[in-house]
Amino acid sequence: MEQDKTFSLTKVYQAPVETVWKAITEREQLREWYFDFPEDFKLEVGSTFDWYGGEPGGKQWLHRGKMVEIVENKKLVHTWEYPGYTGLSTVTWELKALDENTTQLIFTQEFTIPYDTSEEALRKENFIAGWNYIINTGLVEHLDKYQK
Amino acid sequence: MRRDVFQAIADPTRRSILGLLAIQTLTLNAVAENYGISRPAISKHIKLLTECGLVEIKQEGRERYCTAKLEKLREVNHWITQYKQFWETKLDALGTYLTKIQKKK
Repeated sequence: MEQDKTFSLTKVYQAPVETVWKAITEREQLREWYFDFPEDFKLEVGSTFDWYGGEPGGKQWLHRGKMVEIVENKKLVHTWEYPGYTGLSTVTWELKALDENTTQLIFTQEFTIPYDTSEEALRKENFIAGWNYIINTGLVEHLDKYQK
Repeated sequence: MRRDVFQAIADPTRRSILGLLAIQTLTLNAVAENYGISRPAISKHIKLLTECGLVEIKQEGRERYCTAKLEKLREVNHWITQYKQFWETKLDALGTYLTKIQKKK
C-alpha cells in the first residue's frame, strides 16, 4: 500500500469493542451518526448499498459501496464509488480492544482508481478533483518545506 | 477549456516540475535537462502550469525563466482541510454517539 494514496485517522473511544462494532455496522445505529443507509443494507461480503452525501447545503451525490471484508469486532472493508463516474476508493475500519472498555479505531481510505474529472459538474464543485488530489498528494507537503 | 489547480497537479511530471521550481527559478532549458523527455513535451507541461497560474514565465534576452507561483496551491490545501474535517466530524460524531448509548445502560 502506497502511503500517498492513503488517508488515515486514529481514534480512541471509551466503549467496549463489541459496542463500537455494532455502531459501525448496524443500520439503525449508523443513521444516528454517519449516513442513512438503505433498508437493504446488509453485513455480507459482496452486498452493495447506496447512499447520498455531500457538503451541507450543496449537491448530494449518490454513493455506492460494496462489502469486501467483514471480521466481527475487528475489521470492516467496503468500496466507495460514485455510480456513473469512474474512480474507486476503499474504506477500512479496524478496531482493536485496548482494554475491556477502550477501543481504538483506525480509519483508512485508500484511493485506488482516480475519479473522473472530465465531468463538468464534478469539476465545478472541485469535488472529484479533490479526491484525485489525495491520490496524487505529497506535493503540498513537499512544497511547504521550501516556503518556510 | 477550464483550467484549475487540481488538473495541474494531476500529472507526476508537472508535480516534479513544480517541486524543482519551488526551490529556484530556472530557464526552460534547465527544466528540460532534468527530464528524459523532449523539450516540446516539457514546454507543454509548463504551458499548462502557467495557464493554471502556478508558474510564471519571464523572457530575459534569449532565455525564458520559469518561477513557481505557489499561492494557488492554497486552493488545494483548502480542499484537503475540508476533507480531513469531514472525517474528523464523522468520527467525533461516533464518539458522541457511543457516549450517549453507554449512559443509557
